[in-house]
Order: sequence, then structure tokens, then C-alpha cells
Amino acid sequence: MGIMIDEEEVKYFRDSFDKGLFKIENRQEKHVPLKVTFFLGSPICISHPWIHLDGLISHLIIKEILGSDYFLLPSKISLMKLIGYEGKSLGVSPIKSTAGLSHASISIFDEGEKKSYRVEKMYKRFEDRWAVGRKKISIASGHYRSHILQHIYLPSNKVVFYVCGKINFLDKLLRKVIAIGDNTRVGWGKVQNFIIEEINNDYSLIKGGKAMRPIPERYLVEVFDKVLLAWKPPYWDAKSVELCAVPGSPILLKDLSNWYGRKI
Amino acid sequence: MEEKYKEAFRLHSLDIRYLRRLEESKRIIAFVLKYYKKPYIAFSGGKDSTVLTHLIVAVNPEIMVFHWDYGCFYILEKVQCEIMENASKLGVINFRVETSDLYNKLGRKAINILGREMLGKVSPRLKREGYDSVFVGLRKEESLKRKRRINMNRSLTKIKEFWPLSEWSWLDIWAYIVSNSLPYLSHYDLYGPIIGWDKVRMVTFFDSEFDFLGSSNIDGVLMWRFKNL
Repeated sequence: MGIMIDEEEVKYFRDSFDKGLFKIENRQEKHVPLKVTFFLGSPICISHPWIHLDGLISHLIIKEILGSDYFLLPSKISLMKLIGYEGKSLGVSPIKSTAGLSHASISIFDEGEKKSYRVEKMYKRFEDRWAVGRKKISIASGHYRSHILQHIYLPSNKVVFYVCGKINFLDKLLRKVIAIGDNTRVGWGKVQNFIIEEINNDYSLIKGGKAMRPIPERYLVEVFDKVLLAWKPPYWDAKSVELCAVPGSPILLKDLSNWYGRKI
Repeated sequence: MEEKYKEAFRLHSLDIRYLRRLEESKRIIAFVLKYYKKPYIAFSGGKDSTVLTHLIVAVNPEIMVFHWDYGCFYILEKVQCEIMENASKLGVINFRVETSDLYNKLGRKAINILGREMLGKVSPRLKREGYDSVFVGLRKEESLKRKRRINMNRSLTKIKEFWPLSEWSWLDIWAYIVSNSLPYLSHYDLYGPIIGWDKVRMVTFFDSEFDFLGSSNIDGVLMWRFKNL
């Protein structure tokens, strides 16, 4: 079923976006290799084995640009597609990008001794106090259907990301993160604190010859394990899916830019 | 499967209540094989139908074992191969696999194909071929809906259904599998320790029909390689 969006609505979001874009203070900072560590106050809930830092940053930037309008956005459609900016580089990301590939790793969870996934269940049930006057409501199908919500969580103390980006801008954005992962509304993945450290090497794409994020096959000289994965935000969009090297698998990266300098 | 679970299931296989349920199942199977001309087994490849097939094939190796293939968008090719291999290991000789072209055509948007194609078309065809009864590995413990269906003795199609495992618990199933060293699908070992050996089931992956059970979130983490097709 297609999503019906009024033209006026599209104009409203485009205007709001254009106005908000000027508010972003994208300082002329240098991109430096960084290690971002989030310290968690509660276990992290996930619906995929890893979290993408560039996805989190994109979410924060869009929220910063749109302000409270962010919460009015229609679901299941990319904002850039909606306002006709798809494929355009806005130049507001604090993360370095080479040939469209963000220099941001996936999450590395510290699971300590309790290295295992666990399952949490919630039950979404219809409450009759919201249907005064109605005699019969079907909870077996339709709008009021009861749901079991199952989620996997990890008892992780911290989450580490490697990124090459603008340290001050990243710091400003990440201060707004109160929780990461899935189902944060019920208390999972509460962020207690975070630190950003400057490091000597950029481990955002590759570390020890292994991929640190999904990298499309076309950026690689050699790939040993490839799967259809989303590799750019929005990660939920099927259009972001391509045949990619699996994070953690050995790869040989092409010479993507002069900055990268060396052939790997 | 961890050794401590295997040991627990092995011990359960010595329980008198389990042995009584096993005898009752064998009695139902013998009754159907004696009084019905052309029965067959509905085999999904899951743990219940594995136990059921093992029990029946031991008595009648010639019986037709019917398997419905949900297509490569819902069942990993690896899992499908395992199902075939396990059927062979269980001693199945007469194995029949049916599917629908709609699975490949519609991909993950294929909804209620089982109802339309299997129950609506294939089952009447089986009836015309002379099949008069079917063994199904349904258990009362699985859901209230199934319990009601078994209590009301209601078959889904015109072919009479028999449920020899209707009174079995999940412990009984695993006890039978472990004590008889039966093959089972490898994804049980992946899901079992996380969601529990009592809840682990053989279902289609990333199937929107099962979204109300919350299984897609679990599949997203455990079967991530299979998410985008």
C-alpha cells in the first residue's frame, strides 16, 4: 500500500528542513580518527547484531534540523526522498565520507563474562477503557490485535565505535543521546556517559585487515564473506541494501581517495 | 545442545508418564494404519513431525511423507537441505515435496499461500488420489487454538486428521529425540539456548504472518544474513 502524503505536507517539511539547515553549525574542523565509547546504565536491546554510528548521527542531525517537526514525519518513507533531496550531499555530517562511504564503524559490545543474548517479551493488549460504548472488539485480528513483542538484549557495559570525524561537532551531537539501541522508550540501552578519544589510526573502515562496517563489494579488491546488507543511512530502507563485506571478515580495500593514501 | 540438557531429556525419557504417552501414541498409530486404507504423514521438518515420522516409519516404512516447501524467501536453502537429509535419516522412502510458484513470484509478500494452495488445491488433489487420513504432529500444549481444534476433533480439510502427539509436552518431544538420537534442524541449537528449549519452533523466517508473535526481531539478530533477499 502506498503512503499518501499531501503536497502541502511535503512543502512544509521542505521549508522546515531548509530553514533548519542554516542552524547547523558545521565548523571548519579537521577530520581526525576517533574512538567513541558509550557507558551504559542498562542492557542494550537490539534487532540486528550491530548498531551503525553513521545511522545514529544522521538521526541526530535530522532531529537537530527539523526540531519538533521531526516527530510529525511520516513513517516508512525516507525524508530525503520525501523532500526531493535524495542523493544530494548536504555537507552537514561530522563524519568523513569517501566516495559515499562513511568512516564510521559498527558497534563493538563489551559483554564481559555474561557473553550471551537474552530475550525479553512484552505483551501489547487491547484495553477496553479506550473503547467506551463498543460491545465487541476482536483482539484476534485487525487494528486491536494482541501482539507479543519479543526482543533480544545484551548485558553490555559499554559500546565502542571507531569513527573519523569532527571531534567538537560529534561531541555536541552525542551529548543529546540519552539511550541507544532498540526499545529505548522502555529503558533499554540507557547512556550514562560517553567519551571521545583521539587515536593514531583510523579504524573506522578496516582494522587488522578486517572490515569494521558493511562495505559494498564495489569498494573492495577482494572479499571473503559477502551478504546483502544495508550500508548507508537510512538503514531500514531497502534501497540502502547492497552486496557487502560482512563486518569482521577479511577484506582488501580499494584505494578510495588521496587521503587514504596507501593501497591496502 | 548442551550436555546438561541432553542429560535432563534422557532422564525424562525414563518417566512413567512419558512412557504412557508414548504407548498411547503408538496405539493411535497402529489403529490408523489398520483401519485406514491410505494414510500419509504431514512432515514440516520440525521437532514434532520428526518424532511423529520416526514413530510411524518404524511401523510402516512405505507410508507417504508429505512436505510443503515454503520457498527460498521463507526457509533458508541450508535448512531446506537439512529437512531433506533428516527425512532420509529417519528412514523415509516415499517422500513427496510440493510447493507453489507464488513463493518465488511474490517473495516475502507471499501471504496465506499455505491456506490457498496447500489446503485449497493440493489437499483436495491428495483426497482424489485416495488418501483418506493424515498424521499431523499437533500438540495441545502449543496453543489454546490447537487445543480447541484437537478437543473438537476438527480437521482442516476433508482428509481426516490424527494427532498421535496431542498429549505430549515439549519435554516429551525432546526426550524422544535425545533418547533415540534423532536428527533435528541445526537452527534449534541457535534459537534454543536463547529463547528456551520449550519455546523453540520450526517456523518460516522473517514472515510477516508471524509478526504478532514478535519472531521477526529475533530473526533479525540470529538470522541477519538472511534478512535482505
